[in-house]
Amino acid sequence: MNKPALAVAIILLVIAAAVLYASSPGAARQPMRFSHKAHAKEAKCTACHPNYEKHASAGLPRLADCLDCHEGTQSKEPEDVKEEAKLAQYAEKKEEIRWVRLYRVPDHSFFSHRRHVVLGKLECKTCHGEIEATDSPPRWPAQPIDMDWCVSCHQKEKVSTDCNGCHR
Amino acid sequence: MPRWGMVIDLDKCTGCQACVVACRVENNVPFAASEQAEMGRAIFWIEILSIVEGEYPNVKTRFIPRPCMQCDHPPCTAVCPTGATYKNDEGLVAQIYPRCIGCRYCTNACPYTVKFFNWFKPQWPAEMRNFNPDVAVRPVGVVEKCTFCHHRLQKAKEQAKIESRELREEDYVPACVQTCPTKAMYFGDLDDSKSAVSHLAKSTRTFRLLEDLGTEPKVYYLSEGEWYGGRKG
Amino acid sequence: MELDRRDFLKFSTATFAGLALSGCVLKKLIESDEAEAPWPPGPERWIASVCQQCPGGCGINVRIIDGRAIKIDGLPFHPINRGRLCAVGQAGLQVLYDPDRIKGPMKRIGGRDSSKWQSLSWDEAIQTVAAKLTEIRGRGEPHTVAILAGQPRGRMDGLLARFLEAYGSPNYVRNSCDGTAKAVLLTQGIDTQVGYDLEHSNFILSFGYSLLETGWSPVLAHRTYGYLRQERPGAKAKIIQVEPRLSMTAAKADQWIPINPGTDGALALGLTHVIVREGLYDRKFVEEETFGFEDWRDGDGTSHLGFKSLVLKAYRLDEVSTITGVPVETIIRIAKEFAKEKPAVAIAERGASMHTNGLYTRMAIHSLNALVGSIDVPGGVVLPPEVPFTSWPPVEGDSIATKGRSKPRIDHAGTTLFPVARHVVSQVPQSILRADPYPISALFLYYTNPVYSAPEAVGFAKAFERVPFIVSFSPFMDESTAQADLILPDHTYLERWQDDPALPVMKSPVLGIRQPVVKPLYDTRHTGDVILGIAKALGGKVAAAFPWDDFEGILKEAAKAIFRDAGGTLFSSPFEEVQTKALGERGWRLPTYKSFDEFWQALVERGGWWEPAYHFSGGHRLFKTGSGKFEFYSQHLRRTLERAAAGKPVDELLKKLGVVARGDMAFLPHYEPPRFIGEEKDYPFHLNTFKPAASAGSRGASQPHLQEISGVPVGLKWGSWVEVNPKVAGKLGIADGDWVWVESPLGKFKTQALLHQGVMPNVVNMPVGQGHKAYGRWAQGRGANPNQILGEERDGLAGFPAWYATRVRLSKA
Repeated sequence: MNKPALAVAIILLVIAAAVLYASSPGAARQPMRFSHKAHAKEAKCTACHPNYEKHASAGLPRLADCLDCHEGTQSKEPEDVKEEAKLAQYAEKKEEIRWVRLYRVPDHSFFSHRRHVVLGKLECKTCHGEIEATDSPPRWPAQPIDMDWCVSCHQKEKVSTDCNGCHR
Repeated sequence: MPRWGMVIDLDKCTGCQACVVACRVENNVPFAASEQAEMGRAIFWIEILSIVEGEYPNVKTRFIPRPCMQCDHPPCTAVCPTGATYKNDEGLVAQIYPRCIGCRYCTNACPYTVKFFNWFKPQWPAEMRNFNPDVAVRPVGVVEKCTFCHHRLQKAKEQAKIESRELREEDYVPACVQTCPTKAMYFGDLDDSKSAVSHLAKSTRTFRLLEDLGTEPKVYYLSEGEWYGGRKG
Repeated sequence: MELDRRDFLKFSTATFAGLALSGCVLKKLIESDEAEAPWPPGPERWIASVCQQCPGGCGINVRIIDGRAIKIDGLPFHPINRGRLCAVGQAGLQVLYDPDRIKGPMKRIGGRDSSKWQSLSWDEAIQTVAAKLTEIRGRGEPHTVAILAGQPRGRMDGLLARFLEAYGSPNYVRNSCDGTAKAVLLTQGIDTQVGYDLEHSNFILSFGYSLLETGWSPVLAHRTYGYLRQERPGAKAKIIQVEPRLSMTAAKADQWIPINPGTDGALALGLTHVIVREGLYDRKFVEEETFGFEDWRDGDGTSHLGFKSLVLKAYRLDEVSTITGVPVETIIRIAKEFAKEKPAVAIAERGASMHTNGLYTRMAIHSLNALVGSIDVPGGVVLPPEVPFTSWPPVEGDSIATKGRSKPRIDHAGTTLFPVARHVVSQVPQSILRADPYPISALFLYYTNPVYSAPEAVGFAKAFERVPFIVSFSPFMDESTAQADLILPDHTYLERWQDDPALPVMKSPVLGIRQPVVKPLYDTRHTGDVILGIAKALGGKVAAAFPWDDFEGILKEAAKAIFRDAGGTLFSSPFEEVQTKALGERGWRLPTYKSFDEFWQALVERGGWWEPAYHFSGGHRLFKTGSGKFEFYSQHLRRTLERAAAGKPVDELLKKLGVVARGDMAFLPHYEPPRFIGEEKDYPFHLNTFKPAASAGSRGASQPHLQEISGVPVGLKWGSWVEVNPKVAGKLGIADGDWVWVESPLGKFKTQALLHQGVMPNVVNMPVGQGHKAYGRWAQGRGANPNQILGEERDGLAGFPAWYATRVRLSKA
């Protein structure tokens, strides 16, 4: 093989690798070390994700919702207490916690939590993994939410795979 | 399976363009600004075609709202190399943006010129970015067209299923039909014998555009009528 | 293969460069759109309110997600539009989210030539205004403060007027589309616009009333049109549109009658001539419910000319045909149809009113309705009762206020200058420039942009230079606001509380409630609240006249009387409506709410209240004249003119006012030849300006969706045009799309010609709304404003601005 051809081949390989790298959401770091495990004991999923049975999107808690319970310090371990103190800081600055989005369905597709949970009777862990067992927020989605993931399940469950059913 | 169609009564249509603006707002259609508009690149999923006939003083202006015809034999789907546009089981001719490569074969193939290519990245000032979350905001380089507001169908179907009932005629109405001030537009299942559109599509006043091309459009028009001297009954 | 050092370096550089580049670029390409919508939207709500893109008062339902307005649709149960909405209403989000909105109070730095503005707080702004007003009052000149109001809806109208009343000025000058009101005043004794029960009419004769484009509301007009054409069982109504242009209404009517501008009155009288001569008029109605039809004698034996004699003598068809350009056979045919196809109704608006002969023209047209007995009957002229608001206590002004209020108005309304008028906005600049009757020291602009929307010749820009203190409440930097000293921006209509009692175009009084659908985007404030703040800062008796904390409080109080006393119903489902109507017609009312708070909450949620039941009286309920009848011979006009003449002969006053008729004829509907600016031989075309359906008057240019559709159905997008008859254009060597000079005796501008068959050979048509010099990025510097070259002319009696009085010539540019 001649040199120019090799050069081109290597560059193409590198670009391909970069594309793959760029298209993954990357490791997410959340602003607070929220423990689903600790909270799953105290509250139902709808307490913080109120809309998953009623609307397309599940919803996130507002700072006010957190402060409902976290008026005083609720944690016991010193590590947790330090983390929880951040809430008071947010409250003082009147700032919402800017959670980093992990599960992304692009805007050209329609995904309804209500349909999948209420009609499809899916459990949260099917897509979100065993989230209630985690002590800190996951860095990556439990599985990549891409079209393959959705379509494979739709095919298995014999639900519509009409493009127009989800794309809009 | 329902077969979605539309009937437009040209006797009632005044060319007011409420449908045009309602569609644009509902579907996040960008405005082109003057230079692009002058080049004919303004995107109108539904457009009012106006035709002036006759000579002064015997002049007549006719208005024809022209959405996508949602043909049963669509010329556009036949030429799409990627399957980005295709006709689904309910007769809706879909436009799937992530699959579109912007080759514009479909734009050329459509005899009704209802397909629009995004020649430029839509410019939205920051204050105006309140998009309808139910409809994708299209990037540059893809083709778009009227979808009969099928995002409303997606939501209506889910609502009906949740309420354990069938889909009703009034559950799914595209934005243009909903807003038409003269109620000139009708929408529904052409194959449902109880629906308004199935009756009207068989009226003696009915015609379709470019029928001889064999596209079998699902948008029917009712022609304007004469005045019968105020006869009653 | 061998790899030497040089090659290795080349490859690795290329590799890392590729990595870096591709990583950045591709990440951007793929993720850039997602970054705009990071989180899925929250649940949506729909909030009821009232549109304000035009005075139509249609109800709207606004979709709100995460506190942002996403879509505006019609409010399903609002009786005017029933869930439908026109193009302009749909574009309303572009008013709220206009990127060029004024974001807070601003004051000008430097003179009026500088365009430097500085922000200030609301407290400072209100203090500035209060200080200035206190100073003026201290000088004993409160009457030199004036408010110009364009679209003061509901309680805002009363609030602004009350402010000046308590402060001590008679100068509340507001826009009033008065044509109908004045015709009704002269013939029926009530100064109000009337409605038309079109859905029961069989024959609608429209003189320059562009029902479908600018009727109030256009959606109601459209609904009615659709109903009349294809939904009403039995008879399809016939619509005849008389106007100099093939408008949308003319295109959809059964027949378009082109007519020489300003001659609608002659046509109406020609039709009357046929109907009277053939004996086709409603004898019973004319004999029992009208006055002045036959010749009559008054108390001291003087004989007076009756309408019948006048019409038969003066309006023979060959003459009428020559004046109007309408063929004799057409006049005869329409007259016969009008009289026979009962119920028939004659309607008119801007096109017929805005000429120098507007008042008499409207009188003549309105008289057609009396001729065929179409007053307060199904299918005819109707007048709903007013919305029964709680009345405000009278203003207890101090002595300064009383003295100030007794001064004459600056617009000379109701004086010898304009005896029949109550407001004459277009007179204000002349009065200011001549300091007649006195100079103006402070001017407030509410919902009006007169520098743009009045003819330049009227002189608002020049007059503003003479006013030392101008305050604008506009949320947008329009041409007039650009000349202000202080800007106190109002909320846009989607951000504020307001009552919107609909204009009386339906049979029923309708009250829509406008409520904020989003939190105000910027540091703007409801002008009602600002007025209350200024009043409070002024203290004393002025403050005492305003016992409310905020405008919402005013609204709530206003609604109390409706809760307590009125029948009717809140906007409700069709079943509830029918039930309430049936009971109401029999005099019952259903008390449904236990407390006012419950009522108020439901009122706001449903969007409003109305009274569906209507009682047709056959006419007499609507006659508040001296005779108690419909007066062809207007005794009101005669009394008004005699009072204005103050002892001198009325004929002298008529001459001064530019009226040709003398004696009894001046009190009867008759044809006054219209005056035009420019000689026909030099300026062969009438310039006919019109408002396209898909434009919000002069405000639409800042909304890009409306700009983009403005051309359809006739014209060019994103700009202006002038419509020319193709044969005429051919003779002038003008092709479609050519740039042409449009020139009047006052000036000229360039625009593109559009050849259209729907144009009369002696008329050219031009849309208003473009040619802005300010008002945001999309409006500014685009197209041409015909107001630049319109001359100043008016109806002498009622002060109607004669928009159509200017003649022009065209030449290729």
